[in-house]
Amino acid sequence: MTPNEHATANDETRRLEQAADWAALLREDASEADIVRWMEWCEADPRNQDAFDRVQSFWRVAGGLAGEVENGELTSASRTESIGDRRPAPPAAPRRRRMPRFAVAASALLATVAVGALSWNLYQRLYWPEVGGEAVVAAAADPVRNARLPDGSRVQLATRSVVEVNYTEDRRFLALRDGEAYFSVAHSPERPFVVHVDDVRVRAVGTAFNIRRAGQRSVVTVTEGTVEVYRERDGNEVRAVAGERVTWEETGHMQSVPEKDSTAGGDLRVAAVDVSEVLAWREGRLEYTDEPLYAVIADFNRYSEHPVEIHGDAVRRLRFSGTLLTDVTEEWLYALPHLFPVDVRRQGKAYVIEPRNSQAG
Amino acid sequence: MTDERQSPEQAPRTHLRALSELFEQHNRMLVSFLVNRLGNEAEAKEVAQEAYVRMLQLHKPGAVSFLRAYLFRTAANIAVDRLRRRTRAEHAEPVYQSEDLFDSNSPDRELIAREQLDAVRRALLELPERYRRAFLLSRIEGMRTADICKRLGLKASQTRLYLRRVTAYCRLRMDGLTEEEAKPRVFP
Repeated sequence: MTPNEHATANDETRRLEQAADWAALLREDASEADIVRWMEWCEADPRNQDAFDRVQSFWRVAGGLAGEVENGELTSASRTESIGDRRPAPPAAPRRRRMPRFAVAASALLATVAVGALSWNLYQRLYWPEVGGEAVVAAAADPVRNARLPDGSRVQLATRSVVEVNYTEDRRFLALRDGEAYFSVAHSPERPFVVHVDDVRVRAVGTAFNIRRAGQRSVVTVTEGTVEVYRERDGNEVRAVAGERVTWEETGHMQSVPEKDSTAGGDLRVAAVDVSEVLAWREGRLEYTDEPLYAVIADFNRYSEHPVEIHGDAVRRLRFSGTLLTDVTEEWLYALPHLFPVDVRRQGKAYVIEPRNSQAG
Repeated sequence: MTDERQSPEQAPRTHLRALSELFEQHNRMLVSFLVNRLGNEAEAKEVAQEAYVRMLQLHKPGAVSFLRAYLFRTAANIAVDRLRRRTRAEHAEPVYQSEDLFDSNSPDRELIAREQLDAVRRALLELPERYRRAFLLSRIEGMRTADICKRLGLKASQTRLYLRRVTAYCRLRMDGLTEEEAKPRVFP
């Protein structure tokens, strides 16, 4: 080892020792001043933060020995001489605690979570039990939430929309759980950018696109580049370019709300679209052309404090063309009977849309 | 339509902006800090969120330096509460659940985790017993430095030295250094 390498090696060891000291201090009675000093230490040199992370990861791994410790000593300590030849039996599988299943890759950590999100159903929304990744959430009171992702991609979320982000070194996975979001994808072909909508995968190829989930209906609109949409369950796959959209509906519910021009229910369908209309939600307007009423109402319900229910399949299948201003949703609702043969009535905090005169008398 | 905004939204905009910046700049460090405390990442993130909620309810804006320290202090307090609620039995379990390690899309993950655990076990067995015991009491039994001192009849400075050296040594061994390479680095 040259003197230089020697110094570097020593340096690294000292960092690890300092990190170990900090970790021990912070686990016990760290004062505010200690915490501030620790942060300054971390920020002083990226190698410090790195050493701290490495110490943490050792600490985590060492926790796996819990099943092999009795009375403060490893059960295998008495037969140290044979340790090279035989592997101690792995500890019994630890009892699973009820805990959300998270991917823990450090790269999945997202620094961008909307602060406004905290006011709205915080825990339910931030911790989806079934998928790894961190959630970006738009709050009820915010029409548009901008979030920057770790790779420089951007997401704009509509009110009450939830996107989960799960990045690793070789892929960028996201999931649209609810609502509507517009993605502007940073170019990085070796690291696919894929948005999951249940079992449908929307893969971006140097792209900006919008996804909207409304009830059982989902719509992907491409504003730049190309997307590939692939559905796991049946292998259905389509491609769409800028100015096109892909729509599909959940098959389980297809019978009650079929696309009027659809023959094979639930297929991924590609059609041309007016992109500016689709993106108008970012200015507080939802614009529709020939949209099933139930899908409009699913959007409506994200923007309104007063949930709306539709009674009757015929009403669900009505087609709406027009604009819904997201800050005056109630007025829009009262206008509906002028457009369609329906009645709108209040039921507690909610509203019901039903075929006209269905309430006899 | 009535606009039923939640109370945190009524906090002054400047305060919200300051918190938002705080969050962006320090979230990683805060989670790192809490993982160290709590031993698992999911709970660390929960506590981080809870701390932010409490910060949002704090209606007086303050200097960012104050907010930062306050945020970590708040988070630390929540973490302490949670640790108190944990029973002795829960503590004896590996606090980092192996599912944290194994829940990954990569099938190699489990193998890597096993190999790391083997490396740590081997490294610990290469160390003097008093070092190993001090570490296991801290890590597995969840004992505080003062209690470890009592149990093993050590001075506080010795216990700290042992924990520091065990950690550095095991980490270097995990990183692939041999016993012969790692020992002189940590035990001068």
